[in-house]
Amino acid sequence: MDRRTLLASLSAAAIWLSISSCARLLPDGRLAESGDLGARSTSLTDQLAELADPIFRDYSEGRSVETLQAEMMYKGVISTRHGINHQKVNSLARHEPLIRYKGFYYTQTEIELYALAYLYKDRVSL
Amino acid sequence: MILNQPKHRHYDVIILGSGPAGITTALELSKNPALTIAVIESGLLEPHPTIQTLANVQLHGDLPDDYFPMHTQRCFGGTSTIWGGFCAVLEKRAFIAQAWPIPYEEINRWYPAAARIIELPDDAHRQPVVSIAGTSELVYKPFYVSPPVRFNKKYHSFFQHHPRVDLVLGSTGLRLITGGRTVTALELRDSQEPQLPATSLSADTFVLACGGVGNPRLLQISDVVGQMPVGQGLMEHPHLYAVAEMYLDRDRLPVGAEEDPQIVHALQLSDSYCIEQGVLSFSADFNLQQMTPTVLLGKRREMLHTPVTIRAEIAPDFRNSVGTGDQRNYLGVPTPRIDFHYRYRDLARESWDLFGKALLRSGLGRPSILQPEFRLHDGGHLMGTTRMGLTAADSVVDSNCRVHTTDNLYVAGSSVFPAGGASNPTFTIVAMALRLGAHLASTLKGNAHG
Repeated sequence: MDRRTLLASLSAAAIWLSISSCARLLPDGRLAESGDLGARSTSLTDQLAELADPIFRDYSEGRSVETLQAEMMYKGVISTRHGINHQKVNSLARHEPLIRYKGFYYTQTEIELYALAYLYKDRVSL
Repeated sequence: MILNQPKHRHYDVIILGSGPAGITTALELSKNPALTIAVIESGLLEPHPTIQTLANVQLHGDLPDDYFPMHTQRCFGGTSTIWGGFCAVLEKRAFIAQAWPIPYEEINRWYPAAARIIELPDDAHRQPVVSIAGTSELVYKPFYVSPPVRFNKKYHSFFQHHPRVDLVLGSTGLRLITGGRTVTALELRDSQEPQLPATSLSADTFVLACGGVGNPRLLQISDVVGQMPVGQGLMEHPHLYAVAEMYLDRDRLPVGAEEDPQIVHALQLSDSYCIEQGVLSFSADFNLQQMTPTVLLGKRREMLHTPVTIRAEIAPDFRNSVGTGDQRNYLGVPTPRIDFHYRYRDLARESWDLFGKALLRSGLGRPSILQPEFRLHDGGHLMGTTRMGLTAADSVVDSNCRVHTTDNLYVAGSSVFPAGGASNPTFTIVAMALRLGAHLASTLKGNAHG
Protein backbone atom coordinates (compact mmCIF):
# COMPACT_ATOMS: atom_id res chain seq x y z
CA MET A 1 0.00 0.00 0.00
CA ASP A 2 1.55 3.33 -0.98
CA ARG A 3 1.46 6.46 1.13
CA ARG A 4 -1.38 8.09 -0.86
CA THR A 5 -3.65 5.04 -0.60
CA LEU A 6 -2.88 4.70 3.06
CA LEU A 7 -3.82 8.32 3.75
CA ALA A 8 -7.04 8.02 1.75
CA SER A 9 -8.02 4.87 3.63
CA LEU A 10 -7.28 6.46 6.97
CA SER A 11 -9.31 9.52 6.00
CA ALA A 12 -12.30 7.42 4.98
CA ALA A 13 -12.08 5.42 8.18
CA ALA A 14 -11.94 8.60 10.22
CA ILE A 15 -15.05 9.97 8.56
CA TRP A 16 -16.91 6.73 9.05
CA LEU A 17 -15.95 6.68 12.70
CA SER A 18 -16.93 10.32 13.01
CA ILE A 19 -20.39 9.78 11.57
CA SER A 20 -20.80 6.61 13.59
CA SER A 21 -19.76 8.30 16.77
CA CYS A 22 -22.42 10.93 16.21
CA ALA A 23 -24.74 8.28 17.52
CA ARG A 24 -23.51 9.07 20.94
CA LEU A 25 -24.69 12.65 20.68
CA LEU A 26 -28.43 13.07 20.67
CA PRO A 27 -30.11 16.19 19.32
CA ASP A 28 -30.44 17.57 22.83
CA GLY A 29 -26.70 17.09 23.43
CA ARG A 30 -26.97 14.06 25.71
CA LEU A 31 -24.68 11.13 25.08
CA ALA A 32 -26.40 8.12 23.65
CA GLU A 33 -26.02 4.72 25.15
CA SER A 34 -23.53 2.61 23.28
CA GLY A 35 -26.24 0.03 22.62
CA ASP A 36 -27.95 2.48 20.27
CA LEU A 37 -24.98 2.79 18.05
CA GLY A 38 -24.96 -0.10 15.63
CA ALA A 39 -28.32 -0.13 13.82
CA ARG A 40 -28.90 3.63 13.81
CA SER A 41 -25.47 4.55 12.50
CA THR A 42 -26.00 2.22 9.56
CA SER A 43 -29.31 3.92 8.95
CA LEU A 44 -27.82 7.43 8.77
CA THR A 45 -24.98 6.21 6.62
CA ASP A 46 -27.43 4.63 4.26
CA GLN A 47 -29.61 7.69 4.22
CA LEU A 48 -26.68 9.93 3.38
CA ALA A 49 -25.48 7.50 0.74
CA GLU A 50 -28.92 7.61 -0.84
CA LEU A 51 -28.87 11.40 -0.99
CA ALA A 52 -25.34 11.65 -2.37
CA ASP A 53 -25.41 13.14 -5.85
CA PRO A 54 -22.58 14.55 -7.96
CA ILE A 55 -24.75 17.51 -8.82
CA PHE A 56 -23.85 18.90 -5.39
CA ARG A 57 -20.10 18.69 -6.01
CA ASP A 58 -19.81 22.41 -6.75
CA TYR A 59 -21.77 23.41 -3.68
CA SER A 60 -19.68 21.18 -1.45
CA GLU A 61 -16.41 22.63 -2.73
CA GLY A 62 -14.59 24.42 0.08
CA ARG A 63 -16.82 22.83 2.71
CA SER A 64 -15.81 20.01 5.00
CA VAL A 65 -17.69 16.99 6.26
CA GLU A 66 -16.88 17.94 9.82
CA THR A 67 -18.28 21.44 9.53
CA LEU A 68 -21.41 20.38 7.69
CA GLN A 69 -21.96 17.48 10.01
CA ALA A 70 -21.63 19.71 13.07
CA GLU A 71 -24.02 22.21 11.53
CA MET A 72 -26.61 19.53 10.72
CA MET A 73 -26.35 18.09 14.19
CA TYR A 74 -26.60 21.52 15.78
CA LYS A 75 -29.80 22.15 13.85
CA GLY A 76 -31.14 18.77 14.89
CA VAL A 77 -31.32 17.60 11.29
CA ILE A 78 -29.20 14.47 11.70
CA SER A 79 -28.20 12.10 14.43
CA THR A 80 -26.97 8.59 14.10
CA ARG A 81 -29.53 7.48 16.58
CA HIS A 82 -32.45 8.95 14.68
CA GLY A 83 -30.99 9.31 11.22
CA ILE A 84 -32.28 12.27 9.24
CA ASN A 85 -35.00 14.17 11.03
CA HIS A 86 -37.27 14.88 8.06
CA GLN A 87 -39.75 16.72 10.20
CA LYS A 88 -36.98 19.12 11.14
CA VAL A 89 -35.93 19.55 7.50
CA ASN A 90 -39.53 20.36 6.59
CA SER A 91 -39.92 22.70 9.52
CA LEU A 92 -36.73 24.61 8.71
CA ALA A 93 -37.81 24.88 5.07
CA ARG A 94 -40.72 27.05 6.15
CA HIS A 95 -38.47 29.75 7.51
CA GLU A 96 -35.17 29.61 5.67
CA PRO A 97 -34.19 31.73 2.69
CA LEU A 98 -34.10 29.91 -0.61
CA ILE A 99 -30.81 29.23 -2.33
CA ARG A 100 -30.51 29.18 -6.11
CA TYR A 101 -28.27 26.37 -7.24
CA LYS A 102 -27.82 24.99 -10.73
CA GLY A 103 -31.14 26.36 -11.90
CA PHE A 104 -33.29 25.18 -8.98
CA TYR A 105 -34.32 26.49 -5.58
CA TYR A 106 -33.24 24.74 -2.38
CA THR A 107 -33.60 25.59 1.25
CA GLN A 108 -30.38 26.32 3.09
CA THR A 109 -30.52 23.23 5.25
CA GLU A 110 -31.37 20.70 2.60
CA ILE A 111 -28.62 21.78 0.23
CA GLU A 112 -26.11 21.58 3.08
CA LEU A 113 -27.44 18.13 3.86
CA TYR A 114 -26.93 17.09 0.23
CA ALA A 115 -23.42 18.57 0.27
CA LEU A 116 -22.65 16.56 3.40
CA ALA A 117 -24.04 13.45 1.74
CA TYR A 118 -21.94 14.03 -1.34
CA LEU A 119 -18.72 14.72 0.58
CA TYR A 120 -19.29 11.83 2.91
CA LYS A 121 -19.84 9.31 0.17
CA ASP A 122 -16.99 10.74 -1.84
CA ARG A 123 -14.53 10.36 0.99
CA VAL A 124 -15.75 6.97 2.14
CA SER A 125 -15.41 5.60 -1.37
CA LEU A 126 -11.77 6.69 -1.75
CA MET B 1 -84.41 32.83 -38.80
CA ILE B 2 -81.10 33.45 -40.54
CA LEU B 3 -81.39 36.52 -42.74
CA ASN B 4 -79.39 38.93 -44.85
CA GLN B 5 -81.68 41.82 -43.94
CA PRO B 6 -83.68 42.44 -40.77
CA LYS B 7 -87.22 41.10 -40.97
CA HIS B 8 -88.62 43.93 -38.80
CA ARG B 9 -87.80 47.62 -38.43
CA HIS B 10 -88.09 47.30 -34.67
CA TYR B 11 -87.16 44.55 -32.23
CA ASP B 12 -87.59 44.26 -28.51
CA VAL B 13 -83.90 43.50 -28.14
CA ILE B 14 -81.00 43.95 -30.55
CA ILE B 15 -77.81 42.08 -29.76
CA LEU B 16 -74.79 43.23 -31.71
CA GLY B 17 -72.34 40.38 -32.23
CA SER B 18 -72.82 36.63 -32.62
CA GLY B 19 -69.91 35.25 -30.63
CA PRO B 20 -70.36 33.18 -27.45
CA ALA B 21 -71.55 36.21 -25.46
CA GLY B 22 -74.11 37.35 -28.04
CA ILE B 23 -75.45 33.89 -28.81
CA THR B 24 -75.71 32.92 -25.14
CA THR B 25 -77.54 36.13 -24.31
CA ALA B 26 -79.97 35.42 -27.15
CA LEU B 27 -80.52 31.84 -25.98
CA GLU B 28 -81.49 32.96 -22.51
CA LEU B 29 -83.56 35.93 -23.69
CA SER B 30 -85.52 33.71 -26.06
CA LYS B 31 -87.05 31.97 -23.03
CA ASN B 32 -89.27 35.01 -22.66
CA PRO B 33 -91.98 34.27 -25.24
CA ALA B 34 -92.93 37.94 -25.51
CA LEU B 35 -89.62 39.09 -26.92
CA THR B 36 -88.52 39.54 -30.52
CA ILE B 37 -84.75 39.47 -30.78
CA ALA B 38 -82.30 40.37 -33.53
CA VAL B 39 -78.69 39.24 -33.41
CA ILE B 40 -76.68 41.42 -35.80
CA GLU B 41 -73.43 40.01 -37.21
CA SER B 42 -71.09 41.94 -39.48
CA GLY B 43 -69.72 38.71 -40.96
CA LEU B 44 -71.35 35.82 -42.75
CA LEU B 45 -71.81 32.14 -41.97
CA GLU B 46 -68.19 31.56 -42.95
CA PRO B 47 -65.20 33.92 -42.70
CA HIS B 48 -64.98 36.43 -45.54
CA PRO B 49 -61.56 38.00 -46.20
CA THR B 50 -62.82 41.53 -46.84
CA ILE B 51 -65.17 41.58 -43.87
CA GLN B 52 -62.41 40.13 -41.70
CA THR B 53 -60.39 43.31 -42.29
CA LEU B 54 -62.94 45.11 -40.10
CA ALA B 55 -61.12 43.45 -37.19
CA ASN B 56 -57.87 45.23 -38.06
CA VAL B 57 -56.48 47.62 -35.49
CA GLN B 58 -53.50 49.92 -35.14
CA LEU B 59 -51.26 48.41 -32.51
CA HIS B 60 -48.92 50.30 -30.22
CA GLY B 61 -47.04 48.36 -27.60
CA ASP B 62 -46.55 44.70 -26.88
CA LEU B 63 -49.33 42.88 -28.73
CA PRO B 64 -47.83 41.24 -31.82
CA ASP B 65 -48.98 42.13 -35.33
CA ASP B 66 -50.65 38.73 -35.78
CA TYR B 67 -52.66 39.13 -32.57
CA PHE B 68 -55.99 40.11 -34.10
CA PRO B 69 -55.87 37.78 -37.11
CA MET B 70 -55.23 34.98 -34.61
CA HIS B 71 -57.87 35.83 -32.06
CA THR B 72 -60.68 37.74 -33.76
CA GLN B 73 -63.27 36.48 -36.19
CA ARG B 74 -65.91 38.51 -37.98
CA CYS B 75 -68.35 35.71 -38.75
CA PHE B 76 -71.25 33.82 -37.18
CA GLY B 77 -69.90 32.22 -34.00
CA GLY B 78 -67.16 34.81 -33.54
CA THR B 79 -64.07 33.58 -31.74
CA SER B 80 -65.78 30.29 -30.90
CA THR B 81 -64.93 29.29 -34.47
CA ILE B 82 -61.23 29.28 -33.59
CA TRP B 83 -60.93 28.91 -29.81
CA GLY B 84 -58.94 26.14 -28.17
CA GLY B 85 -61.56 25.19 -25.58
CA PHE B 86 -59.67 25.64 -22.29
CA CYS B 87 -62.04 26.47 -19.47
CA ALA B 88 -61.98 27.13 -15.76
CA VAL B 89 -64.05 29.17 -13.35
CA LEU B 90 -62.81 32.61 -12.43
CA GLU B 91 -60.76 32.81 -9.25
CA LYS B 92 -62.53 34.18 -6.16
CA ARG B 93 -59.59 36.40 -5.31
CA ALA B 94 -60.86 39.45 -7.16
CA PHE B 95 -64.30 39.08 -5.56
CA ILE B 96 -62.83 38.81 -2.07
CA ALA B 97 -60.75 41.89 -2.86
CA GLN B 98 -63.98 43.60 -4.03
CA ALA B 99 -62.64 44.33 -7.50
CA TRP B 100 -66.02 43.06 -8.72
CA PRO B 101 -69.08 44.90 -7.40
CA ILE B 102 -71.07 41.66 -7.19
CA PRO B 103 -70.56 38.63 -4.97
CA TYR B 104 -68.92 35.57 -6.48
CA GLU B 105 -72.16 33.64 -6.07
CA GLU B 106 -73.77 35.89 -8.68
CA ILE B 107 -71.55 34.28 -11.30
CA ASN B 108 -71.14 30.89 -9.68
CA ARG B 109 -74.85 30.10 -9.89
CA TRP B 110 -74.66 30.35 -13.69
CA TYR B 111 -71.65 28.09 -14.19
CA PRO B 112 -73.69 24.84 -14.29
CA ALA B 113 -75.81 26.11 -17.19
CA ALA B 114 -72.72 27.54 -18.88
CA ALA B 115 -71.02 24.15 -18.55
CA ARG B 116 -73.89 22.56 -20.46
CA ILE B 117 -73.54 25.09 -23.26
CA ILE B 118 -69.82 24.57 -23.71
CA GLU B 119 -70.09 20.85 -22.86
CA LEU B 120 -67.87 20.68 -19.82
CA PRO B 121 -68.08 17.95 -17.17
CA ASP B 122 -69.92 18.81 -13.95
CA ASP B 123 -66.63 18.85 -12.05
CA ALA B 124 -65.70 22.02 -13.92
CA HIS B 125 -68.06 23.91 -11.61
CA ARG B 126 -68.64 21.41 -8.79
CA GLN B 127 -64.98 21.05 -7.92
CA PRO B 128 -63.15 23.90 -9.66
CA VAL B 129 -60.23 23.82 -7.22
CA VAL B 130 -58.99 21.05 -4.97
CA SER B 131 -57.07 21.69 -1.78
CA ILE B 132 -53.76 19.90 -1.26
CA ALA B 133 -52.97 18.24 2.05
CA GLY B 134 -50.26 20.03 3.97
CA THR B 135 -50.53 23.46 2.37
CA SER B 136 -53.01 26.31 2.42
CA GLU B 137 -50.92 28.37 0.03
CA LEU B 138 -51.36 26.26 -3.09
CA VAL B 139 -54.37 24.61 -4.69
CA TYR B 140 -54.78 22.25 -7.59
CA LYS B 141 -56.91 23.69 -10.38
CA PRO B 142 -57.84 21.59 -13.39
CA PHE B 143 -58.59 23.38 -16.66
CA TYR B 144 -61.22 21.47 -18.59
CA VAL B 145 -61.24 21.35 -22.35
CA SER B 146 -64.46 22.05 -24.16
CA PRO B 147 -64.72 19.93 -27.37
CA PRO B 148 -64.32 22.98 -28.27
CA VAL B 149 -67.90 23.97 -28.92
CA ARG B 150 -68.30 25.92 -32.16
CA PHE B 151 -71.29 28.11 -31.40
CA ASN B 152 -72.04 28.60 -35.10
CA LYS B 153 -72.40 24.85 -35.60
CA LYS B 154 -74.15 24.09 -32.35
CA TYR B 155 -76.75 26.85 -32.61
CA HIS B 156 -77.24 27.12 -36.37
CA SER B 157 -80.46 25.18 -36.15
CA PHE B 158 -81.70 27.28 -33.23
CA PHE B 159 -81.40 30.46 -35.27
CA GLN B 160 -82.64 28.88 -38.46
CA HIS B 161 -85.91 27.75 -36.96
CA HIS B 162 -86.65 30.14 -34.10
CA PRO B 163 -89.70 32.28 -34.96
CA ARG B 164 -88.78 35.20 -32.68
CA VAL B 165 -84.98 35.27 -32.93
CA ASP B 166 -83.44 36.58 -36.13
CA LEU B 167 -79.77 36.27 -36.98
CA VAL B 168 -78.96 39.05 -39.44
CA LEU B 169 -75.70 38.45 -41.28
CA GLY B 170 -73.52 40.87 -43.23
CA SER B 171 -74.64 44.01 -41.39
CA THR B 172 -72.09 46.07 -39.49
CA GLY B 173 -73.17 48.29 -36.63
CA LEU B 174 -71.76 51.76 -37.30
CA ARG B 175 -73.03 53.68 -34.29
CA LEU B 176 -75.78 53.90 -31.71
CA ILE B 177 -78.32 56.68 -32.04
CA THR B 178 -79.23 58.14 -28.68
CA GLY B 179 -81.69 60.57 -27.20
CA GLY B 180 -80.88 61.55 -23.65
CA ARG B 181 -80.35 58.37 -21.63
CA THR B 182 -82.05 56.21 -24.22
CA VAL B 183 -80.54 54.43 -27.17
CA THR B 184 -83.17 54.52 -29.86
CA ALA B 185 -81.60 52.85 -32.85
CA LEU B 186 -78.56 51.20 -34.35
CA GLU B 187 -77.14 52.50 -37.60
CA LEU B 188 -76.12 49.66 -39.91
CA ARG B 189 -74.15 49.33 -43.10
CA ASP B 190 -74.08 46.36 -45.44
CA SER B 191 -70.69 44.69 -44.94
CA GLN B 192 -70.49 43.54 -48.56
CA GLU B 193 -72.13 46.51 -50.28
CA PRO B 194 -70.64 49.50 -48.44
CA GLN B 195 -71.80 51.89 -51.16
CA LEU B 196 -75.42 51.32 -50.12
CA PRO B 197 -76.85 53.92 -47.76
CA ALA B 198 -76.78 53.16 -44.07
CA THR B 199 -79.98 51.91 -42.50
CA SER B 200 -81.21 52.05 -38.95
CA LEU B 201 -82.89 49.49 -36.79
CA SER B 202 -84.72 50.43 -33.61
CA ALA B 203 -85.24 48.47 -30.43
CA ASP B 204 -86.30 48.89 -26.84
CA THR B 205 -83.11 47.39 -25.53
CA PHE B 206 -79.61 46.99 -26.97
CA VAL B 207 -76.86 44.58 -26.00
CA LEU B 208 -73.29 45.04 -27.23
CA ALA B 209 -71.49 41.73 -27.62
CA CYS B 210 -68.69 42.76 -29.96
CA GLY B 211 -65.68 41.82 -27.86
CA GLY B 212 -63.04 43.68 -25.89
CA VAL B 213 -62.33 46.10 -28.72
CA GLY B 214 -65.68 46.31 -30.50
CA ASN B 215 -67.71 47.13 -27.38
CA PRO B 216 -65.75 50.23 -26.29
CA ARG B 217 -65.28 51.36 -29.87
CA LEU B 218 -69.01 51.46 -30.53
CA LEU B 219 -69.54 53.46 -27.34
CA GLN B 220 -66.77 55.87 -28.33
CA ILE B 221 -68.02 56.30 -31.89
CA SER B 222 -71.58 56.81 -30.57
CA ASP B 223 -70.34 59.36 -28.01
CA VAL B 224 -71.64 57.30 -25.12
CA VAL B 225 -68.60 58.02 -23.00
CA GLY B 226 -69.02 61.00 -20.69
CA GLN B 227 -66.76 60.60 -17.67
CA MET B 228 -66.68 56.83 -17.94
CA PRO B 229 -63.36 55.04 -18.58
CA VAL B 230 -64.59 53.59 -21.87
CA GLY B 231 -61.79 51.63 -23.54
CA GLN B 232 -59.44 52.03 -20.58
CA GLY B 233 -57.93 49.27 -18.48
CA LEU B 234 -57.47 46.72 -21.25
CA MET B 235 -56.32 43.40 -19.78
CA GLU B 236 -54.91 40.24 -21.30
CA HIS B 237 -53.54 36.96 -20.00
CA PRO B 238 -49.83 36.80 -20.67
CA HIS B 239 -48.71 33.20 -21.21
CA LEU B 240 -45.14 32.11 -20.62
CA TYR B 241 -44.72 28.75 -22.27
CA ALA B 242 -42.29 26.24 -20.72
CA VAL B 243 -40.51 29.05 -18.97
CA ALA B 244 -39.58 27.02 -15.89
CA GLU B 245 -39.50 23.45 -14.60
CA MET B 246 -40.57 21.85 -11.39
CA TYR B 247 -40.41 18.56 -9.57
CA LEU B 248 -43.66 17.53 -7.94
CA ASP B 249 -44.61 14.86 -5.43
CA ARG B 250 -47.14 13.08 -7.59
CA ASP B 251 -48.60 11.15 -4.66
CA ARG B 252 -49.76 14.38 -3.06
CA LEU B 253 -51.38 15.77 -6.17
CA PRO B 254 -55.14 15.18 -6.32
CA VAL B 255 -54.98 13.88 -9.88
CA GLY B 256 -55.95 10.52 -11.30
CA ALA B 257 -53.54 7.76 -12.17
CA GLU B 258 -54.09 8.23 -15.89
CA GLU B 259 -53.59 11.34 -17.96
CA ASP B 260 -56.99 12.71 -19.02
CA PRO B 261 -56.73 14.46 -22.38
CA GLN B 262 -59.69 16.64 -21.39
CA ILE B 263 -57.86 18.16 -18.43
CA VAL B 264 -54.90 20.53 -18.22
CA HIS B 265 -53.38 20.39 -14.75
CA ALA B 266 -52.38 23.54 -12.90
CA LEU B 267 -51.26 24.66 -9.50
CA GLN B 268 -52.35 28.07 -8.30
CA LEU B 269 -51.60 30.31 -5.39
CA SER B 270 -54.72 29.97 -3.27
CA ASP B 271 -57.16 32.88 -3.18
CA SER B 272 -56.59 33.45 0.53
CA TYR B 273 -52.81 33.42 0.08
CA CYS B 274 -53.07 35.93 -2.79
CA ILE B 275 -55.14 38.25 -0.62
CA GLU B 276 -52.73 37.84 2.28
CA GLN B 277 -49.70 38.57 0.11
CA GLY B 278 -51.39 41.28 -1.96
CA VAL B 279 -50.70 39.55 -5.26
CA LEU B 280 -52.87 38.66 -8.22
CA SER B 281 -53.94 35.20 -9.39
CA PHE B 282 -51.36 32.96 -10.95
CA SER B 283 -51.51 29.54 -12.63
CA ALA B 284 -48.65 27.14 -13.32
CA ASP B 285 -49.58 24.38 -15.76
CA PHE B 286 -47.84 21.02 -15.53
CA ASN B 287 -48.08 17.58 -17.11
CA LEU B 288 -47.87 14.04 -15.77
CA GLN B 289 -45.56 12.57 -18.35
CA GLN B 290 -42.14 12.06 -16.76
CA MET B 291 -41.10 10.55 -13.44
CA THR B 292 -37.49 11.13 -12.36
CA PRO B 293 -35.54 10.24 -9.21
CA THR B 294 -34.41 13.32 -7.30
CA VAL B 295 -33.99 14.63 -3.78
CA LEU B 296 -36.48 16.75 -1.87
CA LEU B 297 -36.36 17.82 1.76
CA GLY B 298 -33.89 15.13 2.72
CA LYS B 299 -35.39 12.22 0.83
CA ARG B 300 -34.62 10.65 -2.50
CA ARG B 301 -37.72 9.70 -4.40
CA GLU B 302 -39.34 9.37 -7.77
CA MET B 303 -40.94 12.68 -8.65
CA LEU B 304 -42.82 14.21 -11.47
CA HIS B 305 -40.48 16.36 -13.57
CA THR B 306 -42.42 18.78 -15.73
CA PRO B 307 -42.05 21.94 -17.75
CA VAL B 308 -44.18 24.80 -16.49
CA THR B 309 -46.32 27.23 -18.41
CA ILE B 310 -47.36 30.30 -16.49
CA ARG B 311 -50.58 32.19 -16.99
CA ALA B 312 -50.93 35.29 -14.88
CA GLU B 313 -53.40 37.96 -14.04
CA ILE B 314 -52.36 41.52 -14.71
CA ALA B 315 -53.86 44.51 -13.00
CA PRO B 316 -56.05 46.85 -15.02
CA ASP B 317 -53.90 49.76 -16.10
CA PHE B 318 -55.70 52.67 -17.70
CA ARG B 319 -52.70 53.37 -19.91
CA ASN B 320 -53.64 50.12 -21.72
CA SER B 321 -56.50 51.28 -23.84
CA VAL B 322 -58.68 51.11 -26.91
CA GLY B 323 -59.07 54.40 -28.76
CA THR B 324 -59.37 55.99 -32.18
CA GLY B 325 -56.73 55.36 -34.84
CA ASP B 326 -55.81 57.67 -37.69
CA GLN B 327 -56.91 55.29 -40.47
CA ARG B 328 -60.33 54.20 -41.67
CA ASN B 329 -61.67 50.80 -42.66
CA TYR B 330 -63.47 50.17 -45.94
CA LEU B 331 -66.78 51.19 -44.34
CA GLY B 332 -65.32 54.59 -43.53
CA VAL B 333 -65.13 53.95 -39.79
CA PRO B 334 -61.93 54.95 -37.94
CA THR B 335 -59.91 51.85 -37.05
CA PRO B 336 -59.29 51.23 -33.38
CA ARG B 337 -55.95 52.13 -31.88
CA ILE B 338 -54.75 49.69 -29.20
CA ASP B 339 -52.12 50.78 -26.71
CA PHE B 340 -50.95 47.87 -24.66
CA HIS B 341 -47.83 47.26 -22.61
CA TYR B 342 -47.60 44.19 -20.43
CA ARG B 343 -45.22 45.77 -17.90
CA TYR B 344 -44.98 42.22 -16.79
CA ARG B 345 -41.44 40.94 -16.37
CA ASP B 346 -41.00 42.03 -12.77
CA LEU B 347 -44.48 40.79 -11.91
CA ALA B 348 -43.69 37.39 -13.46
CA ARG B 349 -40.51 37.06 -11.43
CA GLU B 350 -42.13 38.16 -8.18
CA SER B 351 -45.08 35.82 -8.70
CA TRP B 352 -42.85 32.88 -9.58
CA ASP B 353 -40.62 33.50 -6.56
CA LEU B 354 -43.68 33.56 -4.32
CA PHE B 355 -45.03 30.43 -5.96
CA GLY B 356 -41.64 28.71 -5.70
CA LYS B 357 -41.36 29.43 -2.00
CA ALA B 358 -44.86 28.12 -1.39
CA LEU B 359 -44.05 25.01 -3.39
CA LEU B 360 -40.85 24.22 -1.54
CA ARG B 361 -42.25 25.13 1.87
CA SER B 362 -45.17 22.80 1.33
CA GLY B 363 -42.82 19.93 0.50
CA LEU B 364 -44.90 19.42 -2.62
CA GLY B 365 -42.06 20.05 -5.00
CA ARG B 366 -39.05 22.00 -6.13
CA PRO B 367 -39.23 24.88 -8.62
CA SER B 368 -36.52 25.85 -11.04
CA ILE B 369 -35.58 29.45 -11.48
CA LEU B 370 -37.45 31.31 -14.18
CA GLN B 371 -35.54 31.41 -17.43
CA PRO B 372 -33.47 34.58 -17.59
CA GLU B 373 -35.00 35.58 -20.89
CA PHE B 374 -38.55 34.76 -21.88
CA ARG B 375 -40.99 35.76 -24.54
CA LEU B 376 -44.50 36.71 -23.64
CA HIS B 377 -47.33 35.13 -25.56
CA ASP B 378 -50.77 36.61 -25.62
CA GLY B 379 -53.80 34.58 -24.63
CA GLY B 380 -56.32 36.22 -26.94
CA HIS B 381 -58.35 37.27 -23.92
CA LEU B 382 -59.27 40.93 -24.20
CA MET B 383 -60.92 42.11 -21.01
CA GLY B 384 -61.80 45.15 -18.97
CA THR B 385 -62.54 47.85 -21.55
CA THR B 386 -66.14 48.42 -20.39
CA ARG B 387 -65.49 47.40 -16.81
CA MET B 388 -68.20 46.72 -14.25
CA GLY B 389 -68.36 48.93 -11.19
CA LEU B 390 -70.47 51.03 -8.88
CA THR B 391 -70.10 54.47 -10.45
CA ALA B 392 -69.60 56.11 -13.82
CA ALA B 393 -66.43 57.70 -12.51
CA ASP B 394 -64.53 54.43 -12.39
CA SER B 395 -66.52 52.00 -14.52
CA VAL B 396 -68.74 51.72 -17.58
CA VAL B 397 -71.46 49.23 -16.66
CA ASP B 398 -73.34 48.57 -13.44
CA SER B 399 -73.77 45.23 -11.72
CA ASN B 400 -76.44 44.26 -14.26
CA CYS B 401 -74.11 45.12 -17.16
CA ARG B 402 -76.12 48.24 -18.05
CA VAL B 403 -74.10 51.22 -19.26
CA HIS B 404 -74.27 53.70 -16.38
CA THR B 405 -75.34 56.70 -18.45
CA THR B 406 -78.13 54.93 -20.33
CA ASP B 407 -81.40 53.24 -19.46
CA ASN B 408 -81.45 50.55 -22.13
CA LEU B 409 -77.91 49.73 -23.27
CA TYR B 410 -76.15 46.64 -21.94
CA VAL B 411 -72.79 44.99 -22.54
CA ALA B 412 -71.99 41.27 -22.70
CA GLY B 413 -68.59 39.64 -22.79
CA SER B 414 -65.26 39.88 -21.02
CA SER B 415 -65.04 43.62 -21.61
CA VAL B 416 -67.12 43.99 -18.42
CA PHE B 417 -64.57 42.09 -16.29
CA PRO B 418 -63.05 44.52 -13.78
CA ALA B 419 -60.45 41.85 -12.96
CA GLY B 420 -59.46 39.03 -15.24
CA GLY B 421 -58.07 36.34 -12.95
CA ALA B 422 -55.67 33.76 -14.32
CA SER B 423 -58.19 31.50 -16.02
CA ASN B 424 -59.37 31.39 -19.61
CA PRO B 425 -62.46 33.61 -19.70
CA THR B 426 -64.94 31.82 -21.98
CA PHE B 427 -66.62 29.83 -19.19
CA THR B 428 -67.21 33.07 -17.29
CA ILE B 429 -68.24 34.97 -20.43
CA VAL B 430 -70.96 32.39 -21.05
CA ALA B 431 -72.04 32.38 -17.39
CA MET B 432 -72.24 36.17 -17.35
CA ALA B 433 -74.18 36.23 -20.63
CA LEU B 434 -76.70 33.78 -19.17
CA ARG B 435 -77.02 36.04 -16.15
CA LEU B 436 -77.56 39.09 -18.36
CA GLY B 437 -80.03 37.24 -20.59
CA ALA B 438 -82.01 36.06 -17.58
CA HIS B 439 -82.03 39.56 -16.09
CA LEU B 440 -83.36 41.07 -19.30
CA ALA B 441 -85.81 38.24 -19.90
CA SER B 442 -87.29 38.81 -16.46
CA THR B 443 -87.50 42.59 -16.71
CA LEU B 444 -88.54 43.24 -20.31
CA LYS B 445 -92.17 43.00 -21.31
CA GLY B 446 -91.80 42.68 -25.06
CA ASN B 447 -94.25 43.06 -27.93
CA ALA B 448 -94.23 39.65 -29.60
CA HIS B 449 -97.81 39.00 -28.53
CA GLY B 450 -99.08 42.51 -29.05
